[in-house]
Amino acid sequence: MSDAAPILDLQGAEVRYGKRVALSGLDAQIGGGAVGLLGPNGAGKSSLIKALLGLVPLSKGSATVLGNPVGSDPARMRRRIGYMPERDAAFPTLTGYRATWYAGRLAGLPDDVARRRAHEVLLFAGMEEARYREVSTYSTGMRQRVKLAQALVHDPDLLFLDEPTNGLDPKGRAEMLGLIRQLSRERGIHVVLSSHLLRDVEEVCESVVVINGGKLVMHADIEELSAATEMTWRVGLYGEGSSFQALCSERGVNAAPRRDGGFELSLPEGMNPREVFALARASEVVVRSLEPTRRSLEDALMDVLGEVDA
Amino acid sequence: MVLHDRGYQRWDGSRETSVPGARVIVEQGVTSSIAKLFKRKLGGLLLVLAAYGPFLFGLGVLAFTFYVRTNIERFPQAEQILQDDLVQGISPSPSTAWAYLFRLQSFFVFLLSLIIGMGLIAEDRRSNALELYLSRPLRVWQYVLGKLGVLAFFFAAVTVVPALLLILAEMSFVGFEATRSRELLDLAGRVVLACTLTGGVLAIMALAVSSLAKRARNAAVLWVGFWMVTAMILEPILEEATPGSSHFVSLAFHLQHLGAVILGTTEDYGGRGVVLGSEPLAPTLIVLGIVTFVSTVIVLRRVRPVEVVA
Repeated sequence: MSDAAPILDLQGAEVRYGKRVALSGLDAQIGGGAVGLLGPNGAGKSSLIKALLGLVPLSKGSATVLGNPVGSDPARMRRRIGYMPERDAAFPTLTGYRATWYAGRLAGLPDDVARRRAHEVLLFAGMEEARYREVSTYSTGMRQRVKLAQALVHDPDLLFLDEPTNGLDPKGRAEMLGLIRQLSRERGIHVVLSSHLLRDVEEVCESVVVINGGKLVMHADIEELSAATEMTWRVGLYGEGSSFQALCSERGVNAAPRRDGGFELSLPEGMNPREVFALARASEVVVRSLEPTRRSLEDALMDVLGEVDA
Repeated sequence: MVLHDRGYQRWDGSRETSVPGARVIVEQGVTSSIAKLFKRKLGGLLLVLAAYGPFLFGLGVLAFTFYVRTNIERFPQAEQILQDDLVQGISPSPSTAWAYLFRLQSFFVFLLSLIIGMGLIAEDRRSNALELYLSRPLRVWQYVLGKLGVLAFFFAAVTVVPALLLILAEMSFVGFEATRSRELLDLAGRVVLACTLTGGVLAIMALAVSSLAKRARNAAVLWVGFWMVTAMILEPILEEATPGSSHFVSLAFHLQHLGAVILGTTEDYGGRGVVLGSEPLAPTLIVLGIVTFVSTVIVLRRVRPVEVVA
């Protein structure tokens, strides 16, 4: 985790919609940089962002954003925050430029600055002449870009992006993630990226917070997670595998059966993969194939979520 | 050659310490609404001409009277002209001000509440703009005040502004005549007060109806339906049941009555022996107070960044 002062500090945060608990007992200190907020649909990611913005009240616990307690003076806090909502949202009847200018004015920018910034951030987001067209005529990708521009126009210190790649084609997705990466790594804007897609988070973020069922499941650095994902070997066999599995077990090799009749092998530290051939010979089977694999972050995440569900 | 960096630029200027949220919303709302009115140029032009028709006619009569009065030796029938009912009826007085505001211009106020008022919140709800507004340094009351300001601008444009211009024209025509000038100044104050109170009640009611729908046209149906039910169904039914007291359920009665009391005039209401301006004021204040309170509660409950479906 980052040693810098936390941008988000959650102490037993709970959010309720009537009787339904959306978030419960969330404790976390989240450092700066780009943070991924991961979890399946309905996990409570959007609720957490809305609570941190002061759009929904915390029913229990407390939270601070950039050192400001949530709920005490939300208007003051929001001057330093940009928010890109998940839903399709637009100021009706306005052009992309006018909507971005308006967002800047509402955030407290003087008129002339709002005009200049609106053009700058729209060009940064890749909106050329289309910025003079009404938002209602835009494609999904353009709408996402305008939403990003509106979130950026007042130059926030912290950016909440709720599913920013929703509805984008692969090219659009890559461009959007590129913009977010640039904001975080080159311009020093803290980013909280909420997504149900691990690949998005992997590409942009330095740390990840996993939420499931309204609870905090994991909070770790992406690098640590990557290092923790162990190397395994996928072996295909000719012959009866049960004796091979038994022999593996004796030698401290974890052999998980696969659907194709082969095994996923986790070798103990220091064991040479060549010894797998010796094990096969000893159990009278023939090795058809042996290939190294690394469990992806997605597998690790699925394991974590699976454990919680169980 | 000028090189323009299209990468993201940070901004180190200061944001306005107190965000003029309501003012920004009024400015943008008025601009958008004028564009909406003039989307069909001929329609917009006809509406303006019709709304300002009585004003222009009144101004013409006042100018003509002034001309006759100052050139009395050239007009043998001057006395007769100046005593004419039309000339007398146009000259600014509590009675003519009431007739102008509550008979002639009330139609345009209703029309503007329909064309502009009904979309003010409904369209924001439809396009999820409330989330964009309220995730910025803006409070709910500032948003509502801004929307009220938009409607107030248009109401004022067809009521208090032309009425005050007519009074100003009369003042400039009569010259320095202490008694008449004092009368006209007093009338101007009363016109402003009457328009502020009655227009304010009508504007918050219109906003409440707009906040109940997610489309301007649905809100318009509700708005027209509300007035039709009270004026064409509820009032006649009550007139049958309790003759002479049915006007108490009519909001139109209460608005006109309040206007008559403030302007200090008495007017006939619907030929039923009810005299506006001489009926007791307390029931009117209670009814309008309740309507304003209920409308405000509805608006504040509906204007939320997150819609919770229990």
